[in-house]
Amino acid sequence: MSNPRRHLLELAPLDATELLHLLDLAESFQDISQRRIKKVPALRGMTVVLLFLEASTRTRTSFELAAKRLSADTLSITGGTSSVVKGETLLDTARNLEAMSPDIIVLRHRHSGSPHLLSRHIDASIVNAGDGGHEHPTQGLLDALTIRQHKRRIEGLKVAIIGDIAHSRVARSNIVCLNRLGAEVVVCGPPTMLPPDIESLGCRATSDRADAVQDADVVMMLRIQKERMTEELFPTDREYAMRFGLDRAALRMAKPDALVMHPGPINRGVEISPEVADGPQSIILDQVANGIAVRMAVLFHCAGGGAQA
Amino acid sequence: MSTRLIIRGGRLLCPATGLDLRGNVVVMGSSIALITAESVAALEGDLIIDATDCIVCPGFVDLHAHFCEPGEEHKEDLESGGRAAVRGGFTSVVTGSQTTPSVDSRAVVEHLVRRSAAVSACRVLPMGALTRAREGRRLSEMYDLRDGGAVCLGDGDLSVSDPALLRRAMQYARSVGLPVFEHPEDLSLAAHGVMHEGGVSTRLGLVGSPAVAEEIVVLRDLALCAETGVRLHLGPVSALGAVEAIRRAKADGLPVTCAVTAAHLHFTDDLIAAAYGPNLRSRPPFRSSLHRDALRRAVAEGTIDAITSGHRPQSAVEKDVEFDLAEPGLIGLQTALGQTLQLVDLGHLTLIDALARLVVGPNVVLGRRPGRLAAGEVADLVIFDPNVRQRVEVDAEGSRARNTPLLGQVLPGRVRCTLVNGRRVFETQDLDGASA
Repeated sequence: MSNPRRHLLELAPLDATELLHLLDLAESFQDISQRRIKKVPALRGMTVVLLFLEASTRTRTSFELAAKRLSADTLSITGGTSSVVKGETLLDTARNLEAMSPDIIVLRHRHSGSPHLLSRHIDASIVNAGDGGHEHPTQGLLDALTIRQHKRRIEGLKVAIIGDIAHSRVARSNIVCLNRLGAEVVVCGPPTMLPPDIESLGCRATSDRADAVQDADVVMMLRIQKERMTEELFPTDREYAMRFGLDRAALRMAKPDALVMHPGPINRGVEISPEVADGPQSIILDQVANGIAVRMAVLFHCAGGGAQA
Repeated sequence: MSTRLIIRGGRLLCPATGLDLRGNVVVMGSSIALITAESVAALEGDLIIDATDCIVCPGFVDLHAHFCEPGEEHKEDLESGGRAAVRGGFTSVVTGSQTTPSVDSRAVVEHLVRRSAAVSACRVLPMGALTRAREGRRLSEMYDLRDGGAVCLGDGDLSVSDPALLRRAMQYARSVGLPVFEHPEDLSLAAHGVMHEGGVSTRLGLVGSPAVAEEIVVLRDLALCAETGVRLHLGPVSALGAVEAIRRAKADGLPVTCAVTAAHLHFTDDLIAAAYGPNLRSRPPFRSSLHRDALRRAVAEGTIDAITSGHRPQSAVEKDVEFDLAEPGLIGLQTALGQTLQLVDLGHLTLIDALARLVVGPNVVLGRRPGRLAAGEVADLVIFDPNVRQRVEVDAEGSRARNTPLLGQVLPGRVRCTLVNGRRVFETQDLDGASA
């Protein structure tokens, strides 16, 4: 094959070199968003389909802006408007889209492995924008980029990830990405939210918040996703906030210059207190800004740009 | 006088009697007329099957297959399922009670018996439902099911969740004289699990079904078996804790048996990581190598009585979807022998034990006398070449379904001929019985 398709299905198989390549690429795209004319012709004539079958505002708009700033034509299909709600299968929907010759399909879907299913049957490049509880690769990359920009490095940092690790695709992408780039990752949550053998992804697991936060360089809080929980994993929001939430007192255990991150949208007063979310250590809005650059890099890469395969 | 069929030059292996002899089998009508090491002179009109390089043994009996009729004939039916069975060497197949409607009345059992006699190449042994509509709420008419032809009682791929009802069902079934088949899975613990709960489900972000979901039902059922004295069959089993509990129960003298599918003796959960292949979604799920290795040991030592096909056909409609939306199950009638011989090749099982798990064990589970290679026995026989290796391919002449992860892989063994009731119901093309 002369020009093999490039997908971004997950971060797990990527090595440090490949991850750094994408981060560097993202950094090089960053200044475009600061210009008055926020557009380059890199993907002119290409079609990017945003197939978002699960509710998402932030990731979809971020991908859409990224594609547009690269001059791609975009087509956005969301859960409510798609024929999936009329009983069409994912594969049939994708085959119909394929008949319109898109170059890249960006998929957000609530079923783990659905990007893999598409990549087996569809000719376009597939970019995973979050699949069930599996991975959210661009979120993992943008978090790594944000940390690197603030700390000038990732290697040797202690990163605590606190929340519902079991159901979080953000946690999985972050664990593999940060671990591979040399960080010490500690995940924390009640035992009902720590999935079996999570350590095999390259992290340490604890149910003791102090153990996780102590001397951390980065504290990443995950959203409590009530909408995705099928059973009760903790008794009350009150007890969760007391034992696993991040307030000022808990943050004091981390290094004084520790960064506070959150993939959003946040539940103020549950996993994070308002004064911490809006405090000087919070870089939550930087994460959003970096999302566009990272997604530009990923689209550019999957379209065949950049030096590395 | 009926035509004689002479099976020449094969290795005659009978796991029930221990017979291992190079020789000839003469079949007359529906039964075996002669087993001998001496050469048998062919008379005019005799049919000859050359079994050189082949093993001749009693036909295999499958305890867990679905022929999907009535209700889901687009996946399989009594005819296509029967074809798949005899092409895999199975001469008798227990079909699950989970049809639509379920096999919970004498009328449905009799329909299966009548229709399979007309269209199925193998013998079909229906499982009757233990509870009405398999809902786990009211007892089914077990005596009537038995008199209609049911060989065992169970709710198919469901365990009876209410222990009080299961206890009464076991008490009642004991007097009916049929074994109770339980599919050990606690639906509350298995919940929305789509694969084995462990490191792989964590990495893939798929909801796991823990081994304890099976183990807890096995322990409960064993306690009820000890109390009621019913013959209890657990299967398919997949978890280490389950086989350990059954091993202890057998040592205590409980009338319990269990079975495993040939696929569970090979596949592990990490295979799913390659591409989320929906054909690897199974109930019970394929677990880690720790569990798989325990199953292999249990089969070798005899704690596990029977190897089954676990044949569960699905069409593309059920399988060409997201992994967690795919219906569980894979077909296995035409690959069970190959996967079992693979265990022999790997040194986990002797050939005679392997055949015992396909011939003797299943009959013991059903309370039947195992088929033997002896004069006067019913001629349900399989002739297979253990040394030929063949690629698993879609077989238009066999199962209607193609949901197996084994497509394209090479397995040892090839069935050359299958006889049911003395009739050649399957023969490979290159082995036409030559008239003498």
